[in-house]
Parts: sequence; structure tokens; C-alpha cells
Amino acid sequence: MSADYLTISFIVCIILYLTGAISALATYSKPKVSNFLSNIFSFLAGSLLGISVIIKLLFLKSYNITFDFQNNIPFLNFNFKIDNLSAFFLLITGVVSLIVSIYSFTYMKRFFFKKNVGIFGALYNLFILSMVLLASSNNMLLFLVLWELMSLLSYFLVIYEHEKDEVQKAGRTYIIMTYTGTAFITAAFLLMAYFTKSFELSALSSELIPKGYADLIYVFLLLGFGTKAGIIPMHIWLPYAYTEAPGNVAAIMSAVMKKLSIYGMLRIIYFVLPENAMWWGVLTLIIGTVSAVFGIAYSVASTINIKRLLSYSSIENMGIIFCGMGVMLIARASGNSFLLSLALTAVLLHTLNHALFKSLLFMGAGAIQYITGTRNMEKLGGLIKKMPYAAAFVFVGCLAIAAVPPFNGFASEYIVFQSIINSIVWFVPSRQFPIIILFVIVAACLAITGALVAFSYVKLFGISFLGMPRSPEAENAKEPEKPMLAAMAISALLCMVAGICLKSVIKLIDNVSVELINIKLLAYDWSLSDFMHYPLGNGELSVSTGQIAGLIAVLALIVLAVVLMLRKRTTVQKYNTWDCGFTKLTPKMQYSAIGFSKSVRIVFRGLFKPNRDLVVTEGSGPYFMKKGNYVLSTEKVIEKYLYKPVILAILNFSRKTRYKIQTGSIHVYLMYFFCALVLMLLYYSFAA
Amino acid sequence: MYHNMLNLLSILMLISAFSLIANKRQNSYISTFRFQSALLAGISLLVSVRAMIVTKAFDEVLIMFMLIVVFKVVVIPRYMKSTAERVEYKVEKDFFINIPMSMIICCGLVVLSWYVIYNIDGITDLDTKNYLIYSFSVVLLGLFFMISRKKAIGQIIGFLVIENGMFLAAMLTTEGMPMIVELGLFFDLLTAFIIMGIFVFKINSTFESIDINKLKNLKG
Repeated sequence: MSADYLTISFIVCIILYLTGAISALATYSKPKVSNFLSNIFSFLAGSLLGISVIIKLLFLKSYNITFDFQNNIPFLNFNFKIDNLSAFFLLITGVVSLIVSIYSFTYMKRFFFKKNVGIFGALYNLFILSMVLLASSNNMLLFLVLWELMSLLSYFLVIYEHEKDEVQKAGRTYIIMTYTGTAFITAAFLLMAYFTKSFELSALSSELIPKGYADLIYVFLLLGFGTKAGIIPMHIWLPYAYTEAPGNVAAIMSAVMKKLSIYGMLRIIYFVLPENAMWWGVLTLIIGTVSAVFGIAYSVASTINIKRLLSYSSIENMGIIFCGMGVMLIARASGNSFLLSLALTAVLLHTLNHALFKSLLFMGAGAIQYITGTRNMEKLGGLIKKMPYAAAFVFVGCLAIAAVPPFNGFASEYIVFQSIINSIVWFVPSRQFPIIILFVIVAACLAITGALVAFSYVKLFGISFLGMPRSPEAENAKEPEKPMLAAMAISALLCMVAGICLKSVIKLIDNVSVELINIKLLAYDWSLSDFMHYPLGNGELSVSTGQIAGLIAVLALIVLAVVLMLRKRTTVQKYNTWDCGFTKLTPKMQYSAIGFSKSVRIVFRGLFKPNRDLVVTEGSGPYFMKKGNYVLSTEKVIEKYLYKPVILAILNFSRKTRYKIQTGSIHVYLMYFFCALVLMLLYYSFAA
Repeated sequence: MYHNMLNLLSILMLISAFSLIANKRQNSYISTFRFQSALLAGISLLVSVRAMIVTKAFDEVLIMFMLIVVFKVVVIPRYMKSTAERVEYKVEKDFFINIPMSMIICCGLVVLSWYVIYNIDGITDLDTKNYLIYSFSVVLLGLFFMISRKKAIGQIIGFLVIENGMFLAAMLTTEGMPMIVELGLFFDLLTAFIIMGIFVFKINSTFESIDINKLKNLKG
């Protein structure tokens, strides 16, 4: 009975998004009304979606919400099916979009009377709708159509401030890269459909796909979905697109849209390619590790822009998820079901957690930009005093992403590590040394990654929130409006709850795991005795996030008590910092974001090729200068050595063909027709 | 008798296309086109009368006959003439390939179309085969005409001649297509013609010539 309600609520959801889009467009002349309508509808739809998929995930395990819109287009069925995997990703979509919609109520004030807010509202609603439908489509062609729609709508949202050149450039890179990725996905889908003679995503007769072609399909999928996920070296669009997109769009793109590429990978891996070779996993693991280390290295060392720092750290998180996926594939190829379930949990959990804390951080960055008008960390500072609540929420986000317990980042990254360490344990008896060494290196790289993540977020929080304000904008900052704070508060709370109540979150994933690999993650439902121990059956290696949280709380209380006790006996004297006898301490004397990250640039100098220069603008020579600029430049190694040659070759080719074929003369064009016609005729008459 | 007449008229259309290739002046292009359209009109009249005699009912091809007479014989040539008068009047060589060479190439095209269509196994009726050869040759010649002329008027005439050839093929192989298809084609042609006529003026006012070779400058 309640299952029917779910179908109805899903349809209502679609209608709500459409209503939001239409009403936003209809009232575009009144930006306040338009913004309110678009966000209230996406908020309602998001909450409805979230609630119904949670009900489905928890109570209606084997019931799949399906419906079919009949049409006469060959192959393209409007066939939707929400199984547990879809429901899990719909949960992410619903929760994040509802939070971001609350945030947008005031965030969009930035654009009132400057830009067309109605169009933004319509695009925003349709963008979320396209993602909802994408995660529930059961037909390959429909999937591709929706995938394209999602890419296109997100492109329009990215270039919302299209009058700026850098936005245009970011949008251009984004759309070129995303279409390149889609080309690979299309190729993979067509190969699958060619061999299985079906466009259904769930009911393919996968044994018909020959072995070599399955490998090819997987490589195509990795390239295609990897582009959307922003895996190195297909990441070049990501830092720019996320930086230039409005804050709420960046939050949704990073938290939801990227995750749908994980959804696509999982969907195909489990429903279409049930068997895989070991090297698939090894390849994915290597790519994931490279993305994680290099992504976070970029994030630390080459950014002064908050949003760009967050985007690079997104690359790193996707790298971690891909690592989990690699372990998962290796485990499946070698038939270790415990490892398989562990790695799958790691993938799903980190997907969810990254969606939560990355949307929180992007909202925080958006709030800073909303208040101060800048994203440059070197112009911020001291914001913790001006906007204490926002600072606290961003701090929670930073802790979560840096995997500090009791927040959710810790839980999922711990399970990723567990899966890797357990892989080593699993492979040791069989003495497969290359793979053991690989896993050891991966574990070490992930450890480095963890350290660098902490470094990166110390930089973010320390430079922009602590110290003294570096510019008048930061000086005059104030707390953002309540809806923005509320959205960030909900996110922060969810980060904490998902971290502490690990077992409840895993219960959500449990049914996905049963559906995909037929393994229950939790042996029994609820008992207080081993409150949130995970992973089960792993003895002393399992961890209880709840106990850690309790321990932290107790320790904090003890520290507080000690401080209070000591404070009674001492007197506090407030005085300026000693300025070494100089006249005055200025904000310029503070640690800068560039200076802070110098050590990482030295370590990774092969990746950045840092180059510094002192340009004297006044005075004679470097020793007697009155004014000068210190210039630090880093190189984009991947762009320069991987993309530039390709782009140059393409440009060269097209320039040549332009002069040879595209002459501009109508006669020559007509001549092409004529020659083609005559050649076809000749071919026809000789072939027949 | 009927087929002899049709054969004669369609061969005349092919010959008119050849004479179009041999023309050197814009005014004679238009006259030749008018002549060719009149031949087409004659063919459509013949087809419709024959059909009406056989079925003893009104035949829709008669409407096409009227449309062809009104538009292709009267309106379009007149409009073209006035266009040609209002744009530049300089007399200069209007072709890339000289006339004798063009004639040889066109003969080659007719041979090609004969060869191609003769090898189609599906067509058993010899008359139909012949009609197709003539009309297809007219199409190829029209295309060739478009390529070989420099001025925009030449391109328009070439386009209209291609259209005539296609009309001929449709009429003679199917004894009149459904009315709606014919009408659709006709209005398509008319719109294209009007647009091209406007463009001739535009090209003339922008480049002070209707030599479309100068459009090369537009290349980005």
C-alpha cells in the first residue's frame, strides 16, 4: 500500500520541480517572488524525495518504484525504476538540494536586479530534476539524454555570470570536457546495446558481451564517468567551473552531480558487467590514488581562491572514492566477499559523506563571497570574530573533510583504509607481491593525502577566519542572513550525526549492498552493546565512532574543567602582541596563504615547477629598492604536457583544413555537392 | 503517340538545358528558363489531359499545370528580369569553364546518368527509363550550371532548373504525385526563390556586384 504512495510522491516530486521552474520563469520581473517560488518548490520536492527514499531504503527493500511512459520512439523508453542503488543516490540528491534551496533563499540576493533570477530559478529546478530522473532511469538512451541535459543545464548555471571573461572560459572548458566524456559513455553504451540487443539498464543479458569488449567498455566508462567525476588527468575543467559557478550551484555540482558518475559506474559494474578482470581494479586504484595525492597537492599549494581550494579537494575526494572502487573490483575479481562488502560500503559511505561536507564547505565559501565580495584568501582574515556562527559551521566542515572524529569524514575514510589494509592481509598468504606492494604504496599515498587535507584546511580556515582582516571588506564583514546560516547548520549537524551514528547510516546502505552483492552489512538490527562498531567481524580493527565521540566529549569536559580551575588562580591581562620595537603590526605581517603552503610546493616541485621573481618597480636594483613585487608562478604541468600538444595538433589540423577545404567560395561548395553526387552515382552503378 | 509526345517534350527540355549551358548573357538565361518551364507546362498539360480522358474525372495535375504557367513561365522570369535590370549591368565573362568545354562535360554527364539509370534493374518499362535519364540529366546539368556561373542570377536559374528536372522526373515516372506533395515542393521552391531574390539585392548593395566569388571575403 505504502509502495503506491512512493510512486505517487515521486511523480509529485517531478511536478514540484517543474512547477518551481515554471513559476520562477513566470515571475522573473519580480526577483524576490521568483527566487522565493523557485526555492520553496525545490525545497518541498527535495524534502519529499528525501523522505520517500529513506522510507524505501529502510522498509521497502525489495520493492522497486517503477513507471513507464509509453511512447512510440524506437529504443527510447521513458522507463523509470528506482531500486535501492538509485534510491541511495536520490537520497543524496534530495538532502543536498533541500539544504541548498534553503541557502539560496538569501544567497541569490546577490543577483537581484542585476541578473535574471527567474532564469536561474528555472535552470536550477530543471537541473535538479534532470539529476533525479537520471538516477532513476532504466533505459540507456534515456540515461544518455538526461546525462546530456544535466551537463547542459549545469553549463548554463556555471556561466550564469557570463559577462565575465573568466566565467566564459571556465564554461567553455567545462562543456568541451563534459562532451568528450559523454562521447566515451555513449560509445560504451552502444557497445553494450550492440552485444546484448537491449537498451534496458537493469535486465541486460550480460553473458553476451565478449571478454575483450567488456574490457573496452570498462575503459570507456572509466574515461567517460571519470571526466564528470574530475579524476586526474581529466580534471582540468573542474577547478575553473566550480570556482566561477555561483556558490549554491557549485555546492550542488560538487555534492550531487559528480556523485552521479559514481552511480553510473556502480550501475554498470553490477548490472551489466558482473565479472571483471583484476586489472580493472588495479587501474582504478592507481587512477584514484594519483587523483587523491595530486588533487590535494594542488589544493594546498596552488590556490589562494577558497572555491578553487575546495574544487581541488573535490578531486582528491573523488580519488578516494575511486580507490574504494578499485579495491571493490579487485575483491570481486579475487572472490573475497568480505573485502567486497567493505569496499562497497567505503564507496557508498564516502559518496554520501563527501556530499554532505563538501556542500557545507561550498556554502561557506559562497557565504564569504556573499558578505565580503571576494574569494581571495589573501584579502580575508579575522572573519571568526565578525561571523562566528558561519565560522563554526565551516570549521565543522573542515574537521569533517580532514577526517577528524567524530565527524563523518573520519568514518568513511577509516573504512577506505580498512579495505586497503584488509586487502594486504588477504593477498599476503597467496604471495602476489606486485599487488601487495601496490596496496602498500596506495595506503602510504592515502596517508599522505590525509595529512595534506588537514594542511589544506588549516590553510583555508587559518588564513580566512583567523588573524587580522587583510582588507576593508573583511574588516566590515558581518554574519550572513538566517536562511544561509540555517542551511549550513543543518549540513554541519548532518555531518556530525552521520559521523556518530555510523551504524544508522550503514543501515541505509545495507539494502543497497544486499541488492548489488547479496551481502548484509549488519548482522543484526540494533543493539546498544556494540553501538556503531564497524566493520563487523574484523575483531580489534573495528571502530566505534560513538565511543570516540563520547571520549572526545569527556576529554573536552576535563580540559574545560582544568582550564576553569586554573583560571580562578591567575589574573588575565590583555595587551598587544610585542612588535619587536617596530612602530605597528599590520595585517600584511601575517602568514599568507602562499607563504603557508610553500613547504608543499617544495616537496611537489616536479608537479608545480614553482618560479619566483622579484620585480623592482621603484629604486635601483634589488638591494636598494623602494617598491617591488614578489611574483610567484606555478605551472599547470598536466595542462601543459598532456592537453596543450593535443589542442595544438587539433588547431593545426583545423587551420590547415580550413584553408584547403573551407575556402569560402560558393562554387567550391557546390562543386563538393556535385562531386559527391557523381561519385555516389558511379559507386552505385559499379557496385550494383 | 502519347509516349512519343512525352519523349519529344522531355528531350526538348534536355536540349533547352544544354542551350542554357551555352548561353552567355543573363537575359538569355532567363528566356531559356522560361522556354524550359513552358515545355514542363506542356508536359503537365499532356499528362493531365491524358489522365482525364482515361479516368473521365478531374485530374489534379491540371492544377499543377496552371501553377507552372503562372509562376514558372510568367511571374518568376519577369521578376528575374527586373532583378537583373536593377543590379549591375556590366557585361563580362560570367563563366569559369568555357562553353565548348562545358558542352563536352555535359555530354559526359548525360552519358553518366544514362549509364546509372540503365543499370537499375527495378525499372522494366523502357519509356520510364528514358524519362528518368532525361530528367536526371536536367538535374545534373542544372547543378553544373550553378557551379560554372559567377553571378548570383546564374545560381538562381541553376537552382530552378534542378527543380524543373525533379518535377519532370516526378511527373513522368508517377503520372502525377499526390497533390499535397507537389504543392509542398512548389511553395518550397517559391520561398527559396524569393529569399534568393532578396539576397541578390543584398549582395549587390554590399559588394556592388553580384559576383558571388566576392563572398569569399565573408570567411571568418
